Amino acid sequence: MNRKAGLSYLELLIVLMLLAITATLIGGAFDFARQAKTRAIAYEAQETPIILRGLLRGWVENMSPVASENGFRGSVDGFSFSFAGGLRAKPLAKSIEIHFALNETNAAAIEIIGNNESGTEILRDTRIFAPALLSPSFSYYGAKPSQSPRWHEVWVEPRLPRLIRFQAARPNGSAMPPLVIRPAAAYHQSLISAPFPSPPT
Amino acid sequence: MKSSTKSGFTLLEMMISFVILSIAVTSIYQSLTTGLTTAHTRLQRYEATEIAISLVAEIVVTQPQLPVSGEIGTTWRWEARIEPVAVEMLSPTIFFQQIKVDVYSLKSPEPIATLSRIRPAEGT
Repeated sequence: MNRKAGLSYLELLIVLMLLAITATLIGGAFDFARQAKTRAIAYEAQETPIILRGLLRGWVENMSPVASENGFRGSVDGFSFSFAGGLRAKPLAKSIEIHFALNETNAAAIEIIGNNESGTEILRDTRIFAPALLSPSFSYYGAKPSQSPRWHEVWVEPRLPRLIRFQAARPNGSAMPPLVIRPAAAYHQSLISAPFPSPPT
Repeated sequence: MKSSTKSGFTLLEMMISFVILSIAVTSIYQSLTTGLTTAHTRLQRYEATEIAISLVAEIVVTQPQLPVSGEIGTTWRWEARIEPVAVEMLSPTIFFQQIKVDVYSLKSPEPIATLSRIRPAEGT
């Protein structure tokens, strides 16, 4: 009768081995979860500028081609324009100004300003488009009177430029994909399907 | 011999529970990995589409000599070309040009985003 209570040596070995494998698995899972969290945060940070690019593109493409309605001004460090506030602007704003500009730290930000009928500011929202960019530059493509179209650094003509371009490098030195938008593209494309009067110059 | 009726796990039970645990952990790993890969692919497609929209806008307005191609940083490569399109159902047949922009990641041979824009062919 040498059968005693407890595990045999072999059983103990197997249990120890299982424990070791389980511990490795759980340790690995923690490590993996931490990496997954880091990646998820990085993806979210990458997503914000893409969403803001789309938002800005929508506003610029739907801009009115009429100079007195869009108030477009393009300078070396940003551009601004305005449009009539719709029902979707809360609180109800008569006109909305968009400023896409660089701040002191070369971060590009979109500023949304809502004004009421008397021109008083009732809404202000700032979204950071990209932080601390290297050598950012704005350029405007179009023809100034009696010139052929080319890229300009400043645009204060009564007509809209035909393209707006924003280029920069990311803080790590890699190039940011240039953002090119066609102002009032929605209006110009609608000319193909419906004959509107030609845009005032 | 009362030891053999003691409550507790046998080795077999331990091994079964270990198998179940490893199946569960593996499936959690897999779903997490799939989720992250999907997020990455989707993000890349968003970005590539954004790049293609910008390129098409620029090409339509500035009208460079096509085909052209270029690289953006160390991540993206793009190609823009022209393809003739004939609409034969109309009489007379109308010829269009299709400006087609492909955006590739430097690692992938397949385009991640493709965008095209149709315009009337020159000289028609």
